[in-house]
Parts: sequence; structure tokens; C-alpha cells
Amino acid sequence: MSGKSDWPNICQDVGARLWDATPKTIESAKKLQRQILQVLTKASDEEVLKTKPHEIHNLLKLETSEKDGKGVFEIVGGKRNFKRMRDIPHFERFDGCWFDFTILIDQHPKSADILGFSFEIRFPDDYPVKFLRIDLNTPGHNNDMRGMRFHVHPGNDNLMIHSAPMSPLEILHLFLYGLSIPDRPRSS
Amino acid sequence: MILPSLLRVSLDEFLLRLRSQPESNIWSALVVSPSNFDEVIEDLQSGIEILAECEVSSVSGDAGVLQLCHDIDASSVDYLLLWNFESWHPDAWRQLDSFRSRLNRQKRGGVVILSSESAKLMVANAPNFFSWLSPRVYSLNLGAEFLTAEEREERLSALREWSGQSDAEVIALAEAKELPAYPEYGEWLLLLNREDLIER
Repeated sequence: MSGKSDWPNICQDVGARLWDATPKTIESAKKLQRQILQVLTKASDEEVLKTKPHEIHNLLKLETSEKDGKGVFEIVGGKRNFKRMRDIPHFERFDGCWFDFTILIDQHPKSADILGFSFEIRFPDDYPVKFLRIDLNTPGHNNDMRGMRFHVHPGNDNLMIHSAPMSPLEILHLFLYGLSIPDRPRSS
Repeated sequence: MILPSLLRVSLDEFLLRLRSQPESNIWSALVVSPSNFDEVIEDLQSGIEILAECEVSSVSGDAGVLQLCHDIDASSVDYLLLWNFESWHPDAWRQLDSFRSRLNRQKRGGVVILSSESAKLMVANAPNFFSWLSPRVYSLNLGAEFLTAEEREERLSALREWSGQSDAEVIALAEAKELPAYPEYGEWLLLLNREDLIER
């Protein structure tokens, strides 16, 4: 491990180690969608989430190409919002943080694999970090991206670091119960 | 006999209603097309276990009202799904009407899954049972949890604006195995019914 030329190999090694530790298989896309509904409604009951259960129901949708128990599913949480506009429907925490997500799933007759996802949380306007996005790219052919399939954008679309090996439900919990806005920020 | 007009709910809306009544003996009825019974029972069982966090079991009525009552009494789970009433004649419904108190046990709830035909027979021949259920008898809007055509088009529009590419360009890049592996492109291909181009 020394020098600039080693970084691509290090990046791939880290990516492979992370990928080995990442939960990738679930029972079914529909079951995951219901688990997400349960987590979000519970957070609403706990007043962590300002979004009400009927609004959660309207924001949480499925899309599928499924035939005979096989096909690709997508779980959609909130509308597409590339420009990060607050007036586009999303999930909102009581402290003003707001988020949306999508999850792609390859459904087989008896189990399913997570193919890719994107979870983005945006922070209040007066917070120094604007957003944090956790992406799992779909399996691809691009060698440059191979070690970075599962990554975090820490407040900038052009910055990427390896993600922790979290499942979609764990990321959702992070967005609901972690990443809290401190009363007294640490000084740099 | 005409079936009263029923509130249409999606499965998720129904589950959210159940979730707000935990550990109670609330019973409901869902009117469903018989061709969807298997799918609905599987979805309900899994959904209730997740949303209401209780044990669920299904009990078929195909062996008649006495066997149904016996199976209900013998079951120890928190929540029951009663189904398969399609062979029931008016007499069986009348008998169930007189046995309805067996369902009214503390801390056990359930759903009666009916076709529109069996619902009509229940209304005509088990009026007390129907009256007991009636504030919570729904028609199931199956598939309402999926994106509508309008929502699908809205998402495609957002993806086109974000990338500056057309659907045809994205498909061509995917066919040439040159499409970036961003999850947004996976969604785009799925929305175009070209999920065959998503690498697995």
C-alpha cells in the first residue's frame, strides 16, 4: 500500500469487503414495503416524523414488472426531487430534516435481492451540511465504479466515500433516529 | 339483495386502520374478487404480522359453519382471517348469525374475507352479524399501492429533465452496456418496461 497507483486497488478491496458484509437478500419486495410502512408510521406515532400515516401511505408506492412471482420491483418513498425543492412531497422529521428514497429489488419466487437504492436526507437551511445521500448503484460494467458501488455523498454530489454496510431498513432508521441536529454544534 | 355501497380501501389503508386498534376484538370484512383470495390472504397475513405485530392464522369455511366455529374456538392466535364461504347456503349464514358471539372474544380480532356474492348472502341471512361488522366492511382496491400512470409519467419526466436524455437514448446506452449504473437509470428502465436491460 503506497503511492497513487494503489488507490484503485485499495478502493476495490474496501468495496469488496464492504459488499461481503452488506445484507443483500430479503424475503420479498412487498414485505419490505410493509416493513417500511410500519417503521415510518411508528416514527409518526412517536412524533419523530411530522408526516402523518395517511400522507405516508400516499408517498410510499410500488412499481413492478413482476410476472409469475419474478421480476424487478421498485419501492418508491416520495417523489423524484433532483432539485431538492421542499414543495415536492417528501417525508419530514419534526426537526425540519426531510428525505425521500427509492429501492430496486430483483424478486425471485422465494426470495429477493436488493439491486440498488438511493436514500437522500436534506438538512434545515441554516445547517452547514445541505444533504447526505447513500447510493447503492445497480450491478454495472464500469470498472472505475466497481469499488464504489455502495457509497455516500456527504453534502456534495461530486464527493463519494464508501458507505457502511447497512440494509435499506437500517438506513431508514438512521434517517429517522440518527443524524440529529445538535443543540450546540461542535466548533471546528 | 343489493350490497350496500362500501368504502374502497387499499390493502395498506386497511392495514393502517387495523394497526390503530391493537389488542382489541375488532372484526372487519373485506369484499374481494375470489380470483384474488390467495394473494390477498397471503398479503394480509404478512401485512398484519408486520403492521399490527401480532400472530395471524387463516380459517377456511369450506367445511361448513360448525367446523368453522370449532376451528375458531381451537385457535389460539391473536388475529384470524376467515375465508372460503363460497359454498355456503342461506341456512349456514343463519346459523353463523346465531353463533356470532363466538367471535366476540376479548383481545382477538379478525377479518372476514368475502366475495360480493357471499357478502350479499351474509347481508340477507346474517343481518345481526353484518350489522355488528358494518362500520368496518370495505371493498378492497387491489393494486392501489402501485404507481398510477400519471405518477409513472411524472417520474419519467423528472428523470428526463435530470439527465437531459431521451428514453430512446437511455435504452440505446443500456443495450450498448454503456449506461451508468446509477439507481436512477435502473428506475428509468423499469418505468419503460425495459427491466431486462438492468444488469443483475
